[in-house]
Amino acid sequence: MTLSRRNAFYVAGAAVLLAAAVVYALFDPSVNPFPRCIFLQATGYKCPGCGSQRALHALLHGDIAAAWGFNAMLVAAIPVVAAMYIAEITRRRRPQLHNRLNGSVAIWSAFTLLVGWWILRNIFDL
Amino acid sequence: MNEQNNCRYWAMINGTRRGPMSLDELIRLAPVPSTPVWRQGLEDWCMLSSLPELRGGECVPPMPPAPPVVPAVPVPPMNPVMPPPQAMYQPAVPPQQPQQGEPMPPTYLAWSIVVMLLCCIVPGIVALVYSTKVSSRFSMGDYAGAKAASENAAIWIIVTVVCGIIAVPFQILLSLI
Repeated sequence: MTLSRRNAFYVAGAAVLLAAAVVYALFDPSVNPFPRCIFLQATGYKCPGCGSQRALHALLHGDIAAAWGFNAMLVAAIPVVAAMYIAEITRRRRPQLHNRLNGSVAIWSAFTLLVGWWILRNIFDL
Repeated sequence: MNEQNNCRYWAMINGTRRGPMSLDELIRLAPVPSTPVWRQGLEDWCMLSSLPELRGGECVPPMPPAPPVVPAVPVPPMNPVMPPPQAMYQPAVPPQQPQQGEPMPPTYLAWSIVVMLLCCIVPGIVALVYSTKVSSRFSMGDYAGAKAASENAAIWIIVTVVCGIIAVPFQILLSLI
């Protein structure tokens, strides 16, 4: 069986995702030697992604509340990213949806939310 | 018949403006029914086939209810006849936006969000900034700028991912200290 380059890329990507899911499901990132955020170590401030590993671990165990506590933005972003992925693959059929999700309003909302999250989580220790 | 000869017609035939000519000449010269034609009394050029006189069988003066005020005396040939509208004939389709066919370049917004939340690496914010520029530039009609921003967003997403992967061993070392 031969794979086109594009499909090989997708298969490789899926394999990496699956492997990562297995690793993050089996091991708790907060106790095992998992990578620590350099930004946090260097500055003492959390980056927007801090807590993502623990949040993934919690999500893979079905604990959405705990995941929300580790990194609320990661949990909130999952449906958004999923919607954008669907909009991307159905762009021809539904250009309206794609344009809306990639329009100025959506993009600036995402930008504001992420940067706001970055700032607020360091102020209020989220 | 005499009345018809009072009508002076211009036509765009093979890209050049021809006229004035009589209706008979016009019908003889015009290659297709969609040939753009104009005569006095018409606001703008129209298709030969849509001329009222060709449908009604006689030359209709500009004002339909008015009695035939078309000058009975033919305009002397030396006199400059009122020139047809200078605007070149435009097809009936309204002008299109120049970039209507161009789709917006990918914003990679989803990827920017993902790398910002997963890679724990500051360059992700640069990718996100470029993502925002794609749509704002595109909506201003700056297609080239939007494309450049899109490419920059892609580059910075890759930079973020690569830096993130390179950083992992160091991050693990940090966690072990």
